[in-house]
Amino acid sequence: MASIVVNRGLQVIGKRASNVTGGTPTTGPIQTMAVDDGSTAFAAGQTTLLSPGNLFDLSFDATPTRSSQTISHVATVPTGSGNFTIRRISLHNGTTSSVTGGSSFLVAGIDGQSLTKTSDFSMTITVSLTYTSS
Amino acid sequence: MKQRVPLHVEIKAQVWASPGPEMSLTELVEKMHALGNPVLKIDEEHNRILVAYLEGE
Repeated sequence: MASIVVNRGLQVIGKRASNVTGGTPTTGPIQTMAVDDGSTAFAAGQTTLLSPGNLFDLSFDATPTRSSQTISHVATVPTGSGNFTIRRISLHNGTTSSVTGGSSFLVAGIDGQSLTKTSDFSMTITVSLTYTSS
Repeated sequence: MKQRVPLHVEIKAQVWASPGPEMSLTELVEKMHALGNPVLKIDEEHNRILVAYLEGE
């Protein structure tokens, strides 16, 4: 299992913090979570979801929150969606439907999971990024 | 002058499952076992089950 903020995500975070405008990567806010059944591990140089197979992308339930150095992003996969074996969870700074293919909005991801989702239940996923200097 | 400052980003995730309208929490626990999903914690107050607590390596 790997969890990673990809290089592109680090660039987005740095650009937003220092208000660097223009150029790539685009610096919209992290606003989309995606779950998919791809088995490809995330890598630092990745800028989009690779080989997602089944995929469901969704907006957050609410604006992300901060507690100390931790930023939390929460999204709920409803009963009728995402009904496959969830193997990866990812964050993107683009809108839903812009998480794969030629879109380059990947910020961070967790791979190597195996959670089977069915229409009997919903799943609420919280992804937290904690920044530390030690 | 170049000064190297450590900066770490830790990713954590937790996943809660909540039963749909046709299912009770008890039935959902059975469903999770049948599916092979972990049942890490049962939160009766909020009618949900913790099925994943993920920390990056």
